[in-house]
Amino acid sequence: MAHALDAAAGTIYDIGYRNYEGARLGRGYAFRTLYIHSLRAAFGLGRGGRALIVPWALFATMLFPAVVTVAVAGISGGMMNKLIDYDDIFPFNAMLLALFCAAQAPELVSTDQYHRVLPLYFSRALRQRDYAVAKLLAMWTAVFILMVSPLLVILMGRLALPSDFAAAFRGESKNFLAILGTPTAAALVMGTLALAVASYVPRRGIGSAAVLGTFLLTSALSGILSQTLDGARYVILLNPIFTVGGAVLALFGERPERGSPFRQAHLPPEVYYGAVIAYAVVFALLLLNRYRKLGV
Amino acid sequence: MSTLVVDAPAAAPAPPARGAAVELRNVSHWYGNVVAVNDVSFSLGPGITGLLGPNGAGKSTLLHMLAGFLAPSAGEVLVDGRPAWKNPEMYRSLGLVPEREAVYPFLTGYEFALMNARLHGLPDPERAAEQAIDIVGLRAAMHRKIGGYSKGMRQRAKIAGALVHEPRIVLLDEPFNGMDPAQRMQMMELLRRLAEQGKTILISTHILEELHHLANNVLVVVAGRLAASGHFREIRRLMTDRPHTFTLRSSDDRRLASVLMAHEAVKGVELGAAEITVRTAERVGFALHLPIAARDAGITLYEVRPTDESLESVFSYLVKR
Amino acid sequence: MRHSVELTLARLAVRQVAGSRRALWVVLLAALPVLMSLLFGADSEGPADAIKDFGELYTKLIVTVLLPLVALVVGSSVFGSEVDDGTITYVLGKPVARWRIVLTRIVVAGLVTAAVLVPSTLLSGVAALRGVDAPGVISAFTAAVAVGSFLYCALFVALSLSTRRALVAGLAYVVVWEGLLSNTFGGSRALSIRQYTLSIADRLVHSDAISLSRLDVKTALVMAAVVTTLATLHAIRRLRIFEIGEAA
Repeated sequence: MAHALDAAAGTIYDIGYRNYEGARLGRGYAFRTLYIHSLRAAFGLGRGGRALIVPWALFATMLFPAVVTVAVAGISGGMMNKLIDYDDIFPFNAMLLALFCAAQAPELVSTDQYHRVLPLYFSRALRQRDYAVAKLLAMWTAVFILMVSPLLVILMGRLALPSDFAAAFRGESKNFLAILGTPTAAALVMGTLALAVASYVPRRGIGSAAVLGTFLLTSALSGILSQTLDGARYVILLNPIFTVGGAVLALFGERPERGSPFRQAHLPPEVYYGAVIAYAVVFALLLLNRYRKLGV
Repeated sequence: MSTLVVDAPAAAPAPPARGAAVELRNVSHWYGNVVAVNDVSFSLGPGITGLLGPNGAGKSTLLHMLAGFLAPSAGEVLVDGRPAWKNPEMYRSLGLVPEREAVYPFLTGYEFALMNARLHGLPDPERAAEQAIDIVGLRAAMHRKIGGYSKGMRQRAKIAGALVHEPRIVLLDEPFNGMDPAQRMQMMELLRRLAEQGKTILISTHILEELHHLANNVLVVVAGRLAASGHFREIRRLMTDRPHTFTLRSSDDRRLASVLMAHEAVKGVELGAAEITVRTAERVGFALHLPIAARDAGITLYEVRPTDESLESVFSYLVKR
Repeated sequence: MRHSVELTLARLAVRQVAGSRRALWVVLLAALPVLMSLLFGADSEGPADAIKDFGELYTKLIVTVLLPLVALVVGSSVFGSEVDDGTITYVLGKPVARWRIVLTRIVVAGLVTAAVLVPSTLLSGVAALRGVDAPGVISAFTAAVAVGSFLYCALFVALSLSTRRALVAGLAYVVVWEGLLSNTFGGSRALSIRQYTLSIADRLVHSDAISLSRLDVKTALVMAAVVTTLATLHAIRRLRIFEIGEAA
């Protein structure tokens, strides 16, 4: 009798659900997939037409001056002095890059929070830390791509335009490290900061405002402070964009121009490099912390 | 489902005359390539009309067009003889109860009704708000914040907001969503009272039974088209009085099939690899007959499953007719 | 009783904007210039320097960063949050002329923005110029920032009704247009709300100690009126044809 009662109390009917017995691809695969998916999202791919506008418009605007000067120099007979200097590329494009970070970082981290899909991610093989790291790598990659492209265009101009390719190559090889280092610094500082700030704001639009607000605010504050506090050399490091700028100058071995804030700060390269690492570490920790709290 | 209660036969509803409160003429709406509403025409008069259809049939799109929130891609949507689109004055005689949950959670029920009254520019908004609150029966809770209301109370608050200016036409989008039977009864009472006052009321839902004892006329919308319209009882008959399909597994399918075929309630039997599919016009008769027939033939039934109970199949059957 | 409609709309808009954690951040943001002035105000040498320093603070921090950011967040939320959660039906489904709805909300947005920026400017001015005889500088700056609040809000409200990515568009306007382009092309200075604000402040101060903008005030006022009117009209037009779709 007890049996019958138990049976009546609860049985699971076989209505045709099938268990999955096949291979499960595991955590590494999930991580890689999330990384690629996020990288595509950063460039607006795979989300319908409208999403492409902002990132690609910014990308194109960043490439435009470099491409144009190379084309002009090529047409006018290889006059290389028309080309933009390497170390000018970052300052020209810093604000555009900041806008890109502000626009796309929320696409990576805010939309998942807003639509509450995080539990879906975390009920699989993926851990909270994996999620955060994958997103961060994707952001770094995107920023790197954006920043390295105009530099590569100039490099190609400098290699292709002169008649003696071998000599040009030898001449430019001293810049290779800096050409790779600049976008790395930009990614480490601006990408991490943007992603960390955006991860605390579930709403996409407000997240963009928060990220850009951070860039604008730090810029304004460091500018004012360095003017009011004479001799405060480290104030410039409060500004993430200038921190990267200082590292870029150091990488290319350029001396800061008269009147530029870098001149005033007069800091050795190691300080800038250290600050870049510090930014990356601090904001990465903030990002990880956010997802540790969220993922419970 | 033995129906011992016999409804008194009601006269067929007279079609609303021209100049009806609400009129749709060949209305279509598409989003890009997707046609949400396809050449729909009807008119609404005083009393309660039900708009029935599965989810995604275009009910919400129709209601949004009626409410002046969406422009028809083709055709005309007329309220009181004038187009509903770009016509804010229309809202003096129209009240809407939208489906979406969100109501300002920081307002109390009374404040919400009051806000609506004020926005309508009513001469005595406080009294209108109180009256509306009384109509929906929220007086006891009227000074509590809507954020703390139950789902049924929130619905009633929305209705209060829609009734505050005593509109002639009331549109309700899935008003019974998430209500328990007691709340539903109260809501039906309320709507019936409003209908008795001569208001034109349109209720959209995907559950036919919600319209029972409520709507005189029912419009059935399937895949954007008006599939049927008529008295509630007629629609229900059309929907239930159709062949039903069952899937059976037994100890001897072939013999069971021949046994069943002999019965008059069975319209057809199909032998599958490991089961048989039975079509019957008479659900109750078949259900009574099946176990008896199986037992008499010494066949064990392993599984009896109705196969076409989905709402879509019900509606699509209606459309095919 | 006709006031009731505007008041109700206004009260609703204020509640949307003010009642959230976001408001706290905005207040913190507004406190920054005050903090800066308090901490570093005493460092300047002499009245002329103090005024110049405050002018820097005003231009670089308050007008360039704070004003547009606050206006953006406020301006895009007067309609934005209601569109997002669907409560816009309660506002649109009323026999109220669309221009009244838009105008009231722009005014409310401007007032809220000004309510944040005005005390910020006032207090930071008081802190920066304590003990300094600076006739009308603080009031001039404050008045200009109040005007700027309305100018920016009109633009951002219009943006919020025109595109789903209103915040990014607003940010792009502030950073790219006002930040980069206006500085490079002299003529386009006439199309920058930041310049209008600074020009008005300049004119009101009427002093040689500071020059905040190279745009003359007559052009600034005319263009500001034009831009505001166009933005408002556009916003009204967008609200008239506002559609709430299937999954609203």
